[in-house]
Formats: sequence, structure tokens, C-alpha cells
Amino acid sequence: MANLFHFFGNRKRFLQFILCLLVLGSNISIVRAQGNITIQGKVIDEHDNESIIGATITLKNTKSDSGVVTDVNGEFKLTVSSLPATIVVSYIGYKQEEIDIYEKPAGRITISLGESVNALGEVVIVSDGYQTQAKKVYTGSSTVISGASIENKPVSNPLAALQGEVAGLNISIPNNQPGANPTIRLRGLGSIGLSTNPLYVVDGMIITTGGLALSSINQDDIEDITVLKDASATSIYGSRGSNGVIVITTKRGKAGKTEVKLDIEAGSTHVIPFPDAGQPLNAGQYAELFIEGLVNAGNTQAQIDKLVEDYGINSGRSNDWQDLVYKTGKQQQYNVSIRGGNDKSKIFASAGYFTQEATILESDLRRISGLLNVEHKISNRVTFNAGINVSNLFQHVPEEGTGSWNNPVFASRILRPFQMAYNEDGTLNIDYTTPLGYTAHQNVLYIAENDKRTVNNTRARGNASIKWNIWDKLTYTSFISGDYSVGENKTFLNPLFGGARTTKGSNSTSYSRSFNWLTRNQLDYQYAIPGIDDFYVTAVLGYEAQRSETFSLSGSGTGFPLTQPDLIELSNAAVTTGASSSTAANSFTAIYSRLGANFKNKYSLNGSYRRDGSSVFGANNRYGNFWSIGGAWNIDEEDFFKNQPVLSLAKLHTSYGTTGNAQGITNYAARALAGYGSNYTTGNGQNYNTIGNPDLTWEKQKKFDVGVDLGFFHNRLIITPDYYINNIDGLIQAVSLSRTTGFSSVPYANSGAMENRGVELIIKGDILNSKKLSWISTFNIAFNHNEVTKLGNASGANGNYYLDKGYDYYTYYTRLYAGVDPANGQALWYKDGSKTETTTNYDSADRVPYKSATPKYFGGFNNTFNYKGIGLNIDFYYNFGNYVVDSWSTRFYDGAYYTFNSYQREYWNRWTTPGQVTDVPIYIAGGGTQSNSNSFSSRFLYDGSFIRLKNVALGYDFAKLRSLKPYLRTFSKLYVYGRASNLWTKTYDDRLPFDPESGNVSIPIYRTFTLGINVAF
Amino acid sequence: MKKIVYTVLLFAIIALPGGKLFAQEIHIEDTKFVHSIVEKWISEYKKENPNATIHIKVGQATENKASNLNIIAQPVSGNGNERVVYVGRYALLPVSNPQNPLLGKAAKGLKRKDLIDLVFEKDILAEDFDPDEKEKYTATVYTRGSKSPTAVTLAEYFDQPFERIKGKKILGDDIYLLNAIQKDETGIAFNTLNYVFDLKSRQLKSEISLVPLSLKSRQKEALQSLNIDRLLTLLEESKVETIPVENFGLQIPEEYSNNEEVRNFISWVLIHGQQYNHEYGFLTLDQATLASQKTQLEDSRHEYLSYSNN
Repeated sequence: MANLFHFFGNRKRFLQFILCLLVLGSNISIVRAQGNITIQGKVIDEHDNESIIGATITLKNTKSDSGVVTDVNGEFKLTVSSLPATIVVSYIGYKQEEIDIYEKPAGRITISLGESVNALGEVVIVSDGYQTQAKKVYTGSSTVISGASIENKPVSNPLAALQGEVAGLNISIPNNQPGANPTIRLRGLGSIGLSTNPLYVVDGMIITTGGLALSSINQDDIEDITVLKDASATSIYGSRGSNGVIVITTKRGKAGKTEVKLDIEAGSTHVIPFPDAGQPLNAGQYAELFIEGLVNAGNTQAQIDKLVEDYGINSGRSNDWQDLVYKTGKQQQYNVSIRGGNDKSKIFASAGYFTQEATILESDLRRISGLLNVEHKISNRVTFNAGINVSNLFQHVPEEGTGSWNNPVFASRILRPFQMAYNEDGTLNIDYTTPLGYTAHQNVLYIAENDKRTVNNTRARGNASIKWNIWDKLTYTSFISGDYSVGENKTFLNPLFGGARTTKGSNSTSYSRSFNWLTRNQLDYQYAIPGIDDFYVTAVLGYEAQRSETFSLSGSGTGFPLTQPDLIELSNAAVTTGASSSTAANSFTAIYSRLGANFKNKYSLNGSYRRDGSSVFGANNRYGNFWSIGGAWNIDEEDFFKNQPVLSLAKLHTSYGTTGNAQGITNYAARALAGYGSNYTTGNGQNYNTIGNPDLTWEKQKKFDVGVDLGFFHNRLIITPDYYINNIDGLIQAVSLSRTTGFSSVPYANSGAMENRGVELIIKGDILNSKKLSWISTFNIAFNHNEVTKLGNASGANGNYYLDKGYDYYTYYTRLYAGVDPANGQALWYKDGSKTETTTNYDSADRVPYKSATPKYFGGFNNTFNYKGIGLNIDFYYNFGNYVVDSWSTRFYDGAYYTFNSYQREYWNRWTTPGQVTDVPIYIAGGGTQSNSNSFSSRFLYDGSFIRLKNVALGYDFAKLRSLKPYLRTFSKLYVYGRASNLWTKTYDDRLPFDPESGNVSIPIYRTFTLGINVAF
Repeated sequence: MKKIVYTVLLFAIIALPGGKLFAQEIHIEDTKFVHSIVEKWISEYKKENPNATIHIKVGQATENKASNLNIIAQPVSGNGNERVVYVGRYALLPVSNPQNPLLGKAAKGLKRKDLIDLVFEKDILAEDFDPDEKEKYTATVYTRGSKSPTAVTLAEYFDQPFERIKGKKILGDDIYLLNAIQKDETGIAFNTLNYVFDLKSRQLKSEISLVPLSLKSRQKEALQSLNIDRLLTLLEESKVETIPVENFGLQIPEEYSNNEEVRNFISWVLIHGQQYNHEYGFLTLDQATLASQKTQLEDSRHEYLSYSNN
């Protein structure tokens, strides 16, 4: 020890040295630390503890040190030259944090940012499946819908819950079979020969099989849905991005307290009656029209008396088929989920049970689903993610279609009140020999009870990924996903009555299996340019491959035992009438990249490039290039902006680029195909029945978009207009060929062109925000103009539509109805579009382009009120300017089918007296001289405009009630609510015989009332 | 040459991982404000037990965390509470920059509700939220970043979520909160008595002021005396709803449940160490708590034994 004192000079100096070391070691230093000090940390969202990517960390009042941004893990490393120092942590949408650092932290610090108090709930992150970007620097046009806003909406398909929520996304639900997909168009019709649906991406997997893929997702499991619209947003999806992309992300685990949620909801579905004009006739009205029609047709009284007797018009017995076929259905759902985790591992697990009955016979859905998403941090640099979603859907699906007597929607409209459903002894009437029974029609009550039409679909979609943060700026992600689906469809028709009576019953059963796998390997790079404050670049480079395989097997048989109603399987069939199987596959492969640059959050540039290859296209054009460039200018970050008091947000963004459409094309569309069974001379052998097209390639879309985000009064009012032009080239159509080739057409050829241009506007308002009452409102509207610009074939009729350059694709091509000749009740048509001359001869009137089935504008108006904690949501959906057609017009008008029921409007307004001015011709049984009066003309086009009160929900979170808090401490949420859908609809054409969205072919829209409780603890 | 060898040896001793050389190590990371009292206890304990190896270490625990004693100074619930033996209490006093306009505006004294409004963001989803309601008092609240014990105690005491604490954050020991409010005329902070009072003069530090509180006359008198001893007595005798008081203690790892030195030390603190609490700015445990903590110390041993027997 003496030597030690000697070394330090003396004992006092030695003790001072020791003290100094101890003080340094204990880190209780109140002197300024000098020299470079590295601060390492992570920025997280204070609400859910999720990493915040791209947050900026700068040193306050210091010029020498440049700022840094957080990487893909939300982490940062900042070097400061001396302490104390103040760092400023900021990120758009979050409150800026200033932190004074007095001591070098012992380890990595965690900085929690809280979201800005913004009642409009601006979503600040856009995740497109390849990259997650801050909305501030995002150059594309997209809308993010949070899962919370669609949670518990009483729909069987999560996409249906988006109706009216997204500007430019037109969702119509013509078929209300539970589980059915809505019809979706984003920014207009994207194709005429291929699929017009957006591309669906679920947890990174590109969904390639339609059907029930989306209904299999429990909407309570959805974290958010991102709708990508323009080139900057969609071109990274290359050959499949033309119709827009809908990215669905399911819920993930979160670090923090484990949350258990339980949702229970039960209710009922209720019939929405047809409009008055389209109500079927009651017994008295039908009898009157029946006899009048026979009289007008020139029948003698004796003939009429016989028919009246035969058809039971005076039997004194009648029934209302609407009451018999429609019913009140049940609906219920139960969901339970667990969400939690820590810094290393996170988990979300859920199970759901959902059932819904439509308001018509034998139409329902039962879904059982489970989801498990886990994340585990293997090390500070390596994170593993995995998820699996399993579901089983079981549906009863009644027969659909315009021509089927078994279709209950059709049957309830056409069956006469005098066709009795039940015999007097209470048994079902299955007489098919007399007009009192069902010589042509079917008793759909018996059909519903004895036929079986079921769909059973089991699906497992899983994914796994490894994210490796190779170094601070570079991350590698390897992702693989599989989507396996098995479908079983069974149609059994009973042997006693109905469509298969003559064959003693029939069974048609099919089994289909699909497997779709996708793998993606991606590098993400983020680099802050040294020497320039707040300037960084991002880059994405990846490779993707996908293969979809399908297999189907089907068999059919007839001859089933009459007395054994349970023996309905194919093995019970006396005769096997068919068996077949098929296998098909397609592949896509791509390299993709995206490069972005951001300077001070003021200016952002983004470019993407993707080279896609697909097996479905011709050998000459199997690969294609897709690219985009986009820019954004956050004007509100400019110094000059800060001097004005009105605007609180201003962002200009624009993009241009190309995308393709390959969705919906058959796997072997480009190839020449042979048919086996007969040769060209009908002998045994084979023949080529489809000419190939080795030049076949994608439909290409050039998209231009420009938009502005404007916020006023501290963002209490946000207005977002967008303008776009989408030019589609190489539309795939069948193109006629000279018959000398041996073929009539090339079924798939890139031949046409079309343009969609339009404007979208979103207005969000935090209208009221007082102590007791708040009101947040979102209004969106979209105008789209569709125009065919090039045709592969000659212009002319395309079914009910007119196909020519310069016209909307869904322009009707029809004779113009001119009303009724008051003298004799004969139908009149204008001879041509000039409307100067009329004719009673249907065939001599010209067809002219007239109106369109495309809405001129549509959108939603959604409102959230809160009065003393009571929440009220009121959502409207509207659609204006389109015309809808009565596709069953021939059956219901003017007596051509007088043994069918008819519409009230037919009864009210029919011509009966000379001099009567009306637009409904004379009613003649069998049609008589008016045989064409019920043929397609402008008479059967109706203004399809409507406004619908889509959703009303009222609820209260009892866990927030002060007086109950002591008793409900366990619960973080105890939300009790009631919800109603489709309560009210306003239409704009008194002649409309049906709901303008549903039409009169498929299962009509219904009303739902549900009560629910959400419990979380 | 010898100088070099000695120097290297010295550094090596200091740098050796404590867990290996010193088994009984008390870790202080977020709770440096208790450093002085714990150090005092150790030194007094060692006088009576010269062979004791227990010592204090400031900084992050080593990888083998289970072998270290941790200071707990925030409310603990559930399983974590089972092996904590409380050894003292601390109070958080609202202090401010002497120039703070709040001192004039709130001269009549702030009530508990005023402090909640001042320190915490309002819950915009709460039924009584009113965005148009003007703040009665404003100030810049300084707290420590991350979930430091004193900040958590502050939030818990006022029955508010930690995340809703307003104002600015600092990184570093609680003592730097005083530096922060000295730099900002609008600054206020809640800080421990040992930091806001000069422990030698026993008076409030001259560079800060007390935030006026609405108190009963006797309480007000004690507070306005600016004397730490009077305040400690007051807080031990009665609850002042505007001044958070919280226990602090030692969390005994399972492996230490039967470590006699650890047990002896904690037992000593409970019996003899309390006498030093006031001197270092801390409240003593009340008699009931003291008794319960002695039981807790015993129970922790039994619990481990019964666990081991299984």
C-alpha cells in the first residue's frame, strides 16, 4: 500500500483518485460530460408500444450535430459532443417530445410518443405490403381504414363494411347471400374482359382464388385495410395492380399488459319490402287482371270461366308468397381474443363464430375462424414472425339465376296467389299435373325442405418471415406464405318434386382444392445523407415468386330412392351421369424495387420499378415492366407557411406510372387448345378448338394522379381532393377472325382501350367538440367518367349495352319507349334517337345509346356523435346517376305471362279506357298484338339513384362510468351497443319495382338489428 | 514498473463484475435518489458487522440479475410484491422556478384536482372532457423520461396513466429535474425531499420555490417553514393529499431468500436503520408497516423453503 501512496505522491492524492473513480463509476456526475457520447434508443408509440419508423431525432440549438431518423425497428443512435443536451423527437401525427439529457443513459433509452390530439384520427402510417411509410412522406393516393371502424358491423364479408368509407371505391351488394362477395370497382371499370376486382393482399399474401377467400376473414381480426389507388401506390404490384390493391392486415400482438377481449352479438335480419310499385298483386288484384287479360285477348266467356275454374281464381283460397318465402333470420357472432407480449415476444390469438341467415329460405352462412399471429425477437437484430388463419365456412345457397323456377326470389314474385303452398291437410302441395299446382313452376317451400344446396369451404392461410437487421441501415426480410383451400359444393335435387323429378332426383357434387404459395425476399435500406440535415433515402429491392395450383373433381348421378330422403350421396345414385377432374396452375415471378428520398419532411420523391413474368401470357410477351414516379411537397413545413393562421396542413402529391391487369385470365389463355372426343369430321379423335395467341400480354394501365391534403383550424377540418386519369391499353377481348382460319375468334387478344378519369373529394370535420357533445363527420364523393377509346371489333350491341369509342362501357343500347297510344293502349316507341316519330312496331324502332349503368357519383357520409359518453354512429351511403334494368321485364308486364304474378304498378296504371293517358299498355293475356311491349326498351330502365342509411349504432362504455368504476375495475372496456343496418333508403324513381342495388334477380337486401357487448380486461 | 502493476490491479479490481467478487450487491439504477441513505445504512451496518460484504452499485444490473438486490421505489402489485421488503418512504414535493408566474396565480394554494389538471393531459374520451375549458393554471412540467420510479409514483398517486403526464422529459437522475426547472421560468417538477432540501441546513434549496398547496393551517405552517424536519414529521403524522408519499424497499431474489447476510442486513435496516431516515430526507416506516415488513422478511424465507421442499 505504501508503494501505492508513493505512486500517487501521497495518501491524500491516492484517496482523491479513488473517490474520483467511484464517482465516475457511480455515474452521479453533475459536471458536464465532454467528448462524443453515443445515445442509443428506440422510439415507440405510447399507446401500443409499437416501433415508430422514420421518427426524427435532432439536437436542439446545435448546428454541428446532424439529426438521425429511426430505422425499421424504431431504433436510433445519436452522437452528441457534450452533456447536458436537448434532443427533439418528432414524427408526424405525434406530439413532439423534447428531452433534456443530463447523464449518458446506462443502456438503450425508450422514448414514447403520444399521438397528437386529433379527433379526426388521421392515420399516419401507410403499409402497402412491401413497405411501411409515414403518410407525411407518402407520395401515393391511398386510404387506410382502421379495423376498429368496421369492427362488429353486421356484415358477413369484411369488404361490405367498406361501403361508403373510401372515396372512389364503389361497392355494391347485388347479392345478399351471406358470405357473397360484393361487386367492387375502384376508380371505375378497369377491364372489360378480365377481372375488374382490385387485387386483394392479406398479410402479405396475394390472394389468387376468389370465392369465399375474403368471407373467411373475421372482420374483428382486422387491424386495418389499406386501399391503394394510384400508380405510386400500386405499381409495385406490377402486373396485377391496375384495378387498385386492397391490403388487409390482421391484428398483431403488442407489448404490454395482456388484453383479453370478448365480443358477443346477437340479432336478427328482417325483410325490406319491395317498393310499392313492385309489390306482387294480392289475390283480388290478380283475379281482376287475369280475367281482364283473357277478355282483352278475345276469349269467350266460356273459355274464361273454364280458365278461372282451372286456375282456382274463385276457389276462395289464396296465399301470399312473399310471406311464405321471406322470413326473419337470425344473426349472431362470438369472438374472443388475447393480445399481449413483451419486448421479445408478442402474440395475438383469436377465435370467432359467426352465423347469419338471409331473409329468404335456405340461405345462410356459418363461419368458424381462428387466427394466431406471433412475433419473436430472436436477437436484437433478428425477428421472427408467423401467423396462421384457419376458417371453415358452411353455406346454404338457394338457386339463383333469372330462369330458374327453383330460385325463391323469382318464385316469390311469379307464383300466383292461388297456387297454394299447402294442401288443406297441411302437407306441402306438390301437385304438378293441374294449374292449381305447379305444372311449370315449383313450390319453393318443398324445394327448400327437400333439396340440398351447400357450400363447405375450409381454408388455412399461413405465413412466416424472418427479418434480419444486417446493420443499422440495412434489413433483409424473407417471407413465405401459403393459402390452402378446400371447397365442397353439393347440389341435391329431390326425386319427388322439382327440377329433377323426371330423373328421380339428381346429385352434382364437386370438390376443389387450391394451393397458392408466395415467397418474397427483400432488402430494405435507409440512409441519412451525411452533412445534410434531415435528408435521407430509402431503397427496397426484392424478388417474389408465386404459384397457384388448383385441382377439381366432380361427379353427378341420378335415380335416388323416393322413400329414403337421407340417401342423397352420389353412391346412392342408380345412374352415374358424369365424372370429371381437372388440374391447372399458373406462376408469377418478379423483381421489384422502390427508391425514395425525403428532405426535411418537405419534399419526397418515390420511384418504383417491377419486372413481372407470368405463365399465363404468350411466349412472345411473358415479361413486362411496370414503373412509377411520385412526389410530395409538404407545404406546411415551409417557413412561409407558418406565418398564416388559416391552414394547418397542406400537402401536394402527384404520381404517374404503369400497372397491369392479369387477374381473371384463364391459366392457358395464350395457348392453342385441343378438345378430345371428336375430330373435325365428328369422328372419334381430337380437334383444335381454340386458336392460341402467343402475343397475349397484360392489359396495361397508365395512371396519373394529383391530390392535395388541406387542413384548416388546427385540422378540425380536412379537405382532400384528388384528380386522376387512368388510361387502359391492350384490353383483352375476344376478337373476330375470318372463318377461313377455322376459328371464329381469338378468345383473348389485346385489342381495346379505355379511359377512366375522375375526381374524389374527402371532407372530414371535427364539427362539435364541447364538454357534452362531440360530432365528427366524414363526407366523401367520387365522380368517374368512363370512356371506351379503342375497340378490337366493330362497334355495336353488346348485350343490353352499346360498345363504341367515345361511350361509357355500360351505356345502354335500347329502343326508346314513347308511352301508350291513348286510343287503344298499344305500346309506342320512338323510331330513332331524334324522338320525332313513334311506331307501334317494336322492330322498326332503332336502338340508340341511352343512359348508363355506371353511377355518375357515389360516396358516403359518416358521422360519430358522443353525448356524455354515449356513442352514436350514423353512416349513409349514396349512389347517383346510374340506371338499372329490370332483367325480368318480359315476365311481369302486359300479360304476356299472365299466369305469373305481376307488379302493383302494372295493375295501377294499365291502360283500360280509350283516351286514358298512361305509360303502361293494355293488359292482354298471352301478349297478343303487344307481344313485344315487354321486350327490352327504355321503359324498363329506372333511375338507380339512392341514399341509404347504412348503419346506426348506439353504445356506451360502462367501464368509463364513474359511479360503476369501483365495481368494474377489472374491465378496461364494457361496451354495450345496439346496431341497425339499412334502416332507410331514399330512391328517386317511383316506377322502381325493386331495390336499386339488389335488383330483382338475387337475394335482396335486408335490415339487421343486433345487440352486442364488448368486454376487455 | 510497480506503479503500472498496481494501477492495472486497481483498475482490475474496480472493473471486476460485482456479482463474482461481491455476492451481496444492491443495485441502484433508476433510484439514485436513495443512494445516500442506502450507503449510510451499509456503512453503519458494516461497523457492527465488519465482515459484511454487502455493498452498493450504481448502474445496470449484470446479466445474472437474480443475484442482485434491487431497489424498488414505485407501487408494486401481484407477484412482484412478494419478495419486496420496504425499508423507508419518500415524498415528492412540487417545486418550481422561483420566477414562475404560477407562484403568483396559485398563491392561495393548489388543490389535488388543480395538480392533476396541471400535470396530466386530459382524457379526451372521458365523459367530462371539455376541450374548450381553459386551463386554470399552466406550467411546464418536468419529469424523467421512461418509466422512472418517481414518475410512475406521481402518476399512480394521482390515479392517472403514466403516459398522460404532460410537459418535458429529462434523461438522468431526479436531481437534474432541479436543473431543468432552473432553466425554465415556467418549470415545475415533483422531486424527493432529499433533493429539494439542503440536508445540512435542513432548509429548502435557495434556487427553487415550493409550489403553493392548499393545506390545512397546521400543514401549511409546516410547509411554509421550509424546514425538512417539520415537513417529515407532518407527512409521517398525516396524509397530505397533494404530496405523494411512497415506500421504497429491497426486492429479494429467490436465491437470496435464505442468504443470512442479506436477511441480517435488511433486518438491521428495519430495526436500526430507520433512525437515519430523517437525516437523509426520508420518512420512516410507520409502526404497522414496520411490523408487517419484518413478517414479510420471515415469510419470504418460509415461502422459499416450502417451495424448495416441493
